[in-house]
Amino acid sequence: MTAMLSVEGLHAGYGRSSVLRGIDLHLDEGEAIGLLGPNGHGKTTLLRCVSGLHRPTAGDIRFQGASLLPLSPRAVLRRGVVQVPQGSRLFPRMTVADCLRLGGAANPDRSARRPLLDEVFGLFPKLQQRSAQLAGTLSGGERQMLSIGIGLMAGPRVLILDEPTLGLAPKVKHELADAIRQLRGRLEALVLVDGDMDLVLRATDRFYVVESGQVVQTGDSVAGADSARMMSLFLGDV
Amino acid sequence: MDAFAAILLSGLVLGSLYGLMASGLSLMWSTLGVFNFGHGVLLALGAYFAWTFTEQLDLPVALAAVLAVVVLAVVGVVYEIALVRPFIRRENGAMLVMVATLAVTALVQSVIQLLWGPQLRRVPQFTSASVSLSGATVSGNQLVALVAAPVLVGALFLVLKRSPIGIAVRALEQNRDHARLVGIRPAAVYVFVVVIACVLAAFAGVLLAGIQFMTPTMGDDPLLRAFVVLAFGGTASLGGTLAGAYLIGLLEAATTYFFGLSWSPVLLFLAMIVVLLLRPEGLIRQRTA
Repeated sequence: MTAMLSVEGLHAGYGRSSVLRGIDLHLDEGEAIGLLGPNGHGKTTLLRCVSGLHRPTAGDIRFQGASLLPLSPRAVLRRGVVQVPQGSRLFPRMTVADCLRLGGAANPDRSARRPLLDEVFGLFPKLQQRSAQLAGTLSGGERQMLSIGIGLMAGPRVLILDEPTLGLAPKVKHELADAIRQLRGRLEALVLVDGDMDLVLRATDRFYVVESGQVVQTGDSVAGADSARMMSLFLGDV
Repeated sequence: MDAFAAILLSGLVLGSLYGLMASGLSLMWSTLGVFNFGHGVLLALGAYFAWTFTEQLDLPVALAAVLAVVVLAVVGVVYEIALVRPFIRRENGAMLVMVATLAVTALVQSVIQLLWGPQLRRVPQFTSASVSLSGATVSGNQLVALVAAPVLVGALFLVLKRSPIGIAVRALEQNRDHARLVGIRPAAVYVFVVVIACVLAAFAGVLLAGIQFMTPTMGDDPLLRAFVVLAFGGTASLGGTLAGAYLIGLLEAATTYFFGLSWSPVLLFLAMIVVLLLRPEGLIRQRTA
């Protein structure tokens, strides 16, 4: 069976500095995978390559069998591969409504925009209450909800969440974790990158640990929770 | 009272012209991160095209102005493709674009001189009507400038606030990577921004060419003043830019009246340096669009 999204032997870097050194991973339809690993070891660069923001130096990224590499970020998005960046910056001087409109404008299916907006407001009722508020005045958790909301408005087939709970208070983290688990059932596929190992392992089917630009461990998420190797990553004994 | 009215009217007219110039500059700065040194010569180009349409083709000045603006919109597309796009994503791209716009200024000024010759020319006034207020007379073009500047900048504000392309401009200005992730094409937004800047500069040129004689370098002074406007009003909002333009216009009119033509620019640029030292983000801080 062809994977929905696959990354094959991917190398990438910035100038002479090599960041990704032959990454291989795949995501099947109906599946959620998690990316774990220390900060600064290539996870964000990998996501930037998938979404077309960064050009790899070697390897391939394929979506439903076709290479994404020659495509612009807009073309990648139009195929349904939607990345939700960490939401701390967002569009600070735009209202919540305008931000969601921006996400909706990226969705080629105009008729889907209204139902998607209802879905976003159903998932994050706070966004509806704050529609007229500037994104820059939202709390950290609300910004993250808005960032996910923008991604959902684009009509994703694969949703890629980059550090959705970074820097959030435990209570807000739980709220977002619930939303992410709800999302799992609605999306064709999900990629979750987060520093909260427990959240990633609970919300995904399989995981990959990326370290020094390579996949150093992969496995079943439920079993992964017991992995001593993974525990050591987060305890600093790497 | 006469002096006050003269300063006020002269200041508001100058402010209107500077506002048209500075709005385009401000938009390019906030979106592309470059100062367009070619903005002055675009103003001159708009004026010369308007002159050609009125004097050579015998068209009414309003129609000539519209045609000149349309021509400059096309020039804007070429300008973006030739001077912005090849450089902007390179290392030190903003600097390369600025140097390119500086180079094209000298080039186009020479071309204007070659094509239109050295004779002093003027574009006819939009209207022969004039208004007297406490002894100060406002000519037709000055009246048009007073009305058109807030109307055009207000229209631009609404476009940025409400239209899809306006939202895309603001998104790109605020977070380039995230904007690209939601499908915004920077190149298309850049074309839009440069065209808007060219259109506003061209219209300012047509107005100015009815008030003073045209020369290939007629845009140099307004460009310098527009930079001062940005220092005063900041680049964070069109409202701030327009307010800064009126402030500079009034300051220039008042200093010219009280200290003479030679001292006015000295005081103006001195004020700019003080503002840059004390409030580098601009005197007027507000975020509206």
